[in-house]
Amino acid sequence: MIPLLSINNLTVAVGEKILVDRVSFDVPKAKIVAIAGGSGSGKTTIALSILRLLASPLRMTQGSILFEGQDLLGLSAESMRRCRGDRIGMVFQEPLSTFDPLFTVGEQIDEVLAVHTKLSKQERYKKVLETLSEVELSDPPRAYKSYPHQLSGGMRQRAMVAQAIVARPSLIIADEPTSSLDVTLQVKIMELLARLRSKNMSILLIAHDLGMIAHLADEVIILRQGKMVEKGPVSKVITEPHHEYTKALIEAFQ
Amino acid sequence: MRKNNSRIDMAFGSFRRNRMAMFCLWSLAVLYGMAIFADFICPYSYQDEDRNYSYCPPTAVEFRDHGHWVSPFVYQRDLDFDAVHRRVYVTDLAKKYPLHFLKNGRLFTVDAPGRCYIWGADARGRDLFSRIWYGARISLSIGILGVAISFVLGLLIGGIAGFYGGWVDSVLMRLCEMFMMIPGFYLMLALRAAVPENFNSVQVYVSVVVILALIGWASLARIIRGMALSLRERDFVLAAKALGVSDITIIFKHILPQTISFTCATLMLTVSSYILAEAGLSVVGLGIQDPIPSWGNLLSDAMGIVPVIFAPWILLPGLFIFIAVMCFNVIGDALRDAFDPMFNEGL
Amino acid sequence: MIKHIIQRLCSTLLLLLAVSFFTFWLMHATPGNFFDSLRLNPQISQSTVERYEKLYHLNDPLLVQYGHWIVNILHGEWGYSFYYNVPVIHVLGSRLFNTFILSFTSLLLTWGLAIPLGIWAALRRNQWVDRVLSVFSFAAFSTPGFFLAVLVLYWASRWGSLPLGGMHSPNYDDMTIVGKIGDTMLHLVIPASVLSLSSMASLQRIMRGNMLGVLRQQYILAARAKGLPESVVIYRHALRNAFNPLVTLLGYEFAALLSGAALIEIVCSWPGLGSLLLTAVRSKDVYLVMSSTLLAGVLLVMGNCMADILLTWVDPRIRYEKKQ
Repeated sequence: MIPLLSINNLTVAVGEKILVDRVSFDVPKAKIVAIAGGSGSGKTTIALSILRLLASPLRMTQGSILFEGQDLLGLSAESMRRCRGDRIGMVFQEPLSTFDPLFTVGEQIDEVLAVHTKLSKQERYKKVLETLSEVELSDPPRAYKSYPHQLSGGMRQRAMVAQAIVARPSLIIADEPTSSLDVTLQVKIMELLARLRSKNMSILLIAHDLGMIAHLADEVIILRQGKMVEKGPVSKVITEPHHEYTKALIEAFQ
Repeated sequence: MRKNNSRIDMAFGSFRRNRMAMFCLWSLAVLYGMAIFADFICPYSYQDEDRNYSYCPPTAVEFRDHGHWVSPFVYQRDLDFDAVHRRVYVTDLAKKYPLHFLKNGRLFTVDAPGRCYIWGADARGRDLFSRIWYGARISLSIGILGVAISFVLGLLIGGIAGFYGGWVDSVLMRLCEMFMMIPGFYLMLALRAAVPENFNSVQVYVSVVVILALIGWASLARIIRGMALSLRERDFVLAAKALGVSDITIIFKHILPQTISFTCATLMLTVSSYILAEAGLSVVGLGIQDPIPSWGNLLSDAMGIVPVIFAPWILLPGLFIFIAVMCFNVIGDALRDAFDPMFNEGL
Repeated sequence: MIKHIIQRLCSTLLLLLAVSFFTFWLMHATPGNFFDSLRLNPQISQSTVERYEKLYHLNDPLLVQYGHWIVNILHGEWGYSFYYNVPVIHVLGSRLFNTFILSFTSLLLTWGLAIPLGIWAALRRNQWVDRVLSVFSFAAFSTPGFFLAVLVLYWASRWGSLPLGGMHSPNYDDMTIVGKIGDTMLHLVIPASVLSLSSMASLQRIMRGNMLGVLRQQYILAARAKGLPESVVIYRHALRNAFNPLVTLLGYEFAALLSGAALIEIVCSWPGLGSLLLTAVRSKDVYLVMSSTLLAGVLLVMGNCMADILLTWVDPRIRYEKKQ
């Protein structure tokens, strides 16, 4: 079985400093793979590298990224753009700053469909409403017309998930999707994401909370300052950690 | 406190690295230096007139006489009228006036009746070079003094308003808005109309300084008030209050120093706008009055098309206004960038 | 939102009153009764002087005089201009309109050019376009407006195609409507472009700064992550967010415009409010000075108010503040 996403020897540097050091892992279809580590470990950098959205001083110095069998790094800029949002979706950490404050939530989710599909306006509207109820928003038409600041934190994050899945991508990258929420909401959002697995979507979950990862992920990669220190199925890594750092992380979240 | 100092050090370091800003700083030093030493540098006083040389073009300083190098001298110029009765200056090669250096406490002069007009003469035969540098004293000092007063006013009112909040803040901010509500030039004219006509030149100077200060203090006060408001809730202020430090001391020792850094940049920009404002006032004859020169009133000669076409050198004061204002603007902008933490992260 | 507007209007009304009192006090702070010098003026009849003395209750305390002045203003009696020998209102009307034309044209020019240039500079950051515009901006707002006006007039006199001042050509009255409009526009070219130059320079820098700030925001990254084409990211998302805060500037722009227009009007002989005020101040025409200043304040306030309302309409965060 060809994995959905295959990363090999990815190395990202800014100037002389290496942020990600020869990281390799696979994300199989319909599985949740988690990348765990403290802040500054390079987790978000990996996510942005996959989407080829690294800010200019950062450069990918070596490595390959294969998605659905295609080499992402070899794609033209235009082809890469078509891939984003359509084949790979992203959920960000802080929904208030990742939604444009001047447009309604519905309009912004609609944009994804408008750019990647040829559906008519009514068809897009229907699909957005469907997706909004899929993420368990209670009043989809009202949510559609709301501006980001009018929704509560939990509702906003659900809307962000909706924006990421509306075009039915096969891979969702979720960068600390629950860090800005309180505990009860965190659980709900994580369950929502877990259910996506059943819809044939894979999730690359970036988080620092090993407790959550233990619950949800199938595989986990432990990162420390850009280097992979451990990798494997969640059950194995959590119960039998090899590396010091992994042990420390587990302890921190007991 | 140490962290605060290093931030200021970093900012000034960043400023020093900005070559354009340092160049402007030195240029301003030159301008102010020339103004201070005007008595020494200029061959004539600002009132020294000779109607025989009205609108005389710049005098060329000669270094060669019949092919030999000699110490510098000027030829005599005589006023004449050409066929269509236009003013023309004819050079009389027979009469030479050598330049005397360091005579009578002046850098260079020529004996009467010779005249050395390096940058030409105005309508009354007064040396433009001398008038420009004497004028620099007025134009450059008015801006600084006006800003000093605005700054003190703004600091006091803004600091008090921001620190106390509540109704004190409301009342003081309404006062500010009132001043900001009248367009600057109109306010200047209105205030000027209130100045009695029989004021002598010193009193006029002081009035102009006060007027300038009054048009600009309000926006300064608002900025400072904003900063004071945000600082009020900070821990070190609350700690000082808990320790029983008096309000005034808190305002002066803790809040205001934090605002100084950003205020410096704003001050530079305010100086430049004051220099322009004074020029504007003087050019319409409502600022500093003749015979005391200021760059603005020197330009009032140049407001008609006819003099400009025949004596374009009378536009020179405008160039100096431009240079001074530009320098202050560049320095102000550079200071603002230097204190902006995001800028310093090498973006 | 309506409540917000009404609140603003009330406070600005109070401010206007304060401004008017301030102007009034200023005029009367000059030592000597203004009417003394008037009485000495042979051109003004004794009866006119007496009539106005009565109207303005000159022997009453200052506050009472002020009260009467305000009441008179509200009744349309704005005072008498001794220089022009007509009631102030007659003079103000046409001048106000002229200043308005000049300011409005200048506003269009400024915003029409500054916004695109600011965007362009931000997108081509630190390349030659940005650097050239940067130098140009600095030079433009460092040059005294009136000086630039003289330079431009000088150049225009050499070139010969543009009128050198004033608002109408001598044969204005004989022109058709279209001709009149064209003639006015021709006369507008020099004053309006000089006036716009310095505000355009600073606005362009602000737009550039805003644009750069917005481009650093997370929602721009998120928009790209959605696969939106770069043009949509820039012109739909970045531009609107960068432009919004500038709406508040519109009010202050108007103020700066009125202020700067005054000097340009004088140099280019444009018959507007600014040159009127100058004449009034020079001739110590008290009521004209007070009325012009008050009018300028009113215009400014209206400009600010409109800008406030515009901002409320354009930024949903403010518009829907109450609804949460």
